[in-house]
Amino acid sequence: MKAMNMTMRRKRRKRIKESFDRGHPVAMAIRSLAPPDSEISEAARERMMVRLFSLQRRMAQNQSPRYHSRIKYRLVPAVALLVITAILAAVLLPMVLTGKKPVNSKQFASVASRTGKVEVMQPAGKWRSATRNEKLGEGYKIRTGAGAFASVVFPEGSIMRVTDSSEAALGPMSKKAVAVDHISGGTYHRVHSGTRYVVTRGDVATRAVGTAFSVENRSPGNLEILSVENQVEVAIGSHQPIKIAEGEVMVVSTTQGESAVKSPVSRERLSDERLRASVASDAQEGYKTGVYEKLDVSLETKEAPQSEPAASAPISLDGTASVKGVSLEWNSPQTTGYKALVLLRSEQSEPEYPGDEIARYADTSITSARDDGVKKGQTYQYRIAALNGSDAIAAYSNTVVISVPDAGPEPEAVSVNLTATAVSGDTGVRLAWSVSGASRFSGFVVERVVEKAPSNSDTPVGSTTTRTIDSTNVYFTLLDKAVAADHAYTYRVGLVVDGAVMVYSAPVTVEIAKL
Amino acid sequence: MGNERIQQRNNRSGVLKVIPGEADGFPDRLVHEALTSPDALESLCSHYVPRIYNYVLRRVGRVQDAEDITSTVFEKVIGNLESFDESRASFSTWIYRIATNTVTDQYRSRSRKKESSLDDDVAEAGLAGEAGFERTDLYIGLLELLERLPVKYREAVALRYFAEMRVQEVAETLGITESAASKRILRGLDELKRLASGGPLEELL
Repeated sequence: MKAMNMTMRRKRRKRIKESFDRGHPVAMAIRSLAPPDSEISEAARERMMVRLFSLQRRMAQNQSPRYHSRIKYRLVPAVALLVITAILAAVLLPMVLTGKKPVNSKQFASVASRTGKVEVMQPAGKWRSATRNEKLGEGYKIRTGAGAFASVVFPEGSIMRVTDSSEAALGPMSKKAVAVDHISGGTYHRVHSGTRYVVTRGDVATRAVGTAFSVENRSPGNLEILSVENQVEVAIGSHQPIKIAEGEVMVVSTTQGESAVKSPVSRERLSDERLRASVASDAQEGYKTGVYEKLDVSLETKEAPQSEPAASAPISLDGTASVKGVSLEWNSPQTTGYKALVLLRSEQSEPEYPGDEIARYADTSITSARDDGVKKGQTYQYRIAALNGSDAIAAYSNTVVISVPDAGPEPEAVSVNLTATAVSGDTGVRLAWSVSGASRFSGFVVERVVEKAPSNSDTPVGSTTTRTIDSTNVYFTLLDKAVAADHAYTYRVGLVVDGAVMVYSAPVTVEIAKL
Repeated sequence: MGNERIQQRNNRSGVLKVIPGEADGFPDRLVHEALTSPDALESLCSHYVPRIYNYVLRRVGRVQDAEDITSTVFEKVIGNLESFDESRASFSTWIYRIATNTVTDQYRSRSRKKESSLDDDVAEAGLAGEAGFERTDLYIGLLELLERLPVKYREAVALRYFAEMRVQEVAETLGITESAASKRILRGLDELKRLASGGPLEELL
């Protein structure tokens, strides 16, 4: 009634004409300056929705007691009785009818296997040992001790494997979506086809549909995302997501600003015991093993270190591919007395001497080679064997995996996307660019041309400045402070591959206002 | 907001009859379902996130900040949804009030921190459209002036021009009468004009 009176009173109040501020110069200025509608970035929306769904769940869990306090107390026993009956019916009926344990609710994951010290914590609870098939709801955390390993199965069929000394928290789960917060250590994710599966760590979100990938932050300030099968998308903050193809690895560094480097995965990385154990579990359960199968990396645990060649690789090999062929480089072996170096190549498995020999160098000071006899679109593995006086293997280098690009339609065009913004307050232009479609490049060339300048300017129209940057970051930001008021500058960024610019970004012009 | 606008127009013409709160907008009566149903939450967000995000972006001028604040606003909305009473205010009014308060809180905490973290790495890209960079600078300048206004004028001006509200909606959101709302708006505009004199914005006014 009171509310109604209020409304009535309000309605009788004087109506103000909408045009009351028409013609006010400030009103017109605000309207003309205000930016047009834009859309919130997909990544930000995604992060927000994950948080909101999580909040919704928590609210739903806490709602019942609050709700009770509002209703008449005499209803409480009846409601309690109903709830207990319902729970008992839900738990006991399936057991009675089928003789089996009740089917997991859609909103719970379960601990499918555990080895060593595996603990779980429910929201606002304490860490305690995980039991087999223990149900984990949203907000639950799971962690593993040294040497421990656990697999968590989500209601829609995806699996998370938590490697040793690692921790993760579960977000909302449904029939088609799973959210996981990777906290520390290494987690491996086998994503069920059709599930929207998102793993977040800080503002880095990794999204996958039907794939397998690993997320690891064992070294401080570095987050590594490795795609084992199919591809994943990684979004850093509000940047455009970057695709990571099967067999590629991205390392996001958060120590000095944010930067990310994407490269093909090495055999050594794939042979890492933790990752291999996760993929081996996948293989046992009948899943494809993607890059492991492609590169024929063994999934069997090595027994004692094999007694074949020297323990560490004294020769370090690196290589790049272009449509023309494969370029290989290695360091000069520190140990002298090798009789020859043998370059080995294989398409299917780790190359072995002598079967996979493609070249032999009696001059052991040679440190590079070019292989033109490669097929486009094919992946090769290279390794160098150093031979001793009796033609036996004295040492092997590391193995590099190189994919020769397809001459046909490029899988993804290489491009550089540049934005340039005048920074207010401090005079300067902030350039930010991202590289898509290329993982092997050595740096950038930033070009600036003066587009507009006052007649007395030190940098007249047409002045060109070029700056070379050695970097393999797929994201890069740069502040150009050498700018003056009342000038306009056009920027473009070139991507340097094999010492030459492969592609330029579209030019962007920035005008610095008059003082 | 769209709901009420359509309803008004209809009342005047007397041709169409629209059930309150169910025109082009998100029905107020479904708002509470967002507490329990993921679908309802998703559809509530589809409807309101773009509006609130653009309102906040126009107020703070930085994409990153706007994203963070928008997220905070919706967390507050869900966290307090139980206390939302549709008989006292429309949901739209309520959510803009939360957004306005959140931005105001942000201003306070930022002025305390003295812009410590607002350096190069902060994205200002959202405002840098094709319209040109000079315009962007002027706009950032305008926001700085707005920040110097007393809160009550600042909020009234922001709701009117950044949320593009009618006077009645500004009044409802701030819980004041329409005539008070219009006075605050005009006072805010006059004050901005005074603050702008001698600065780069002057020639525009």
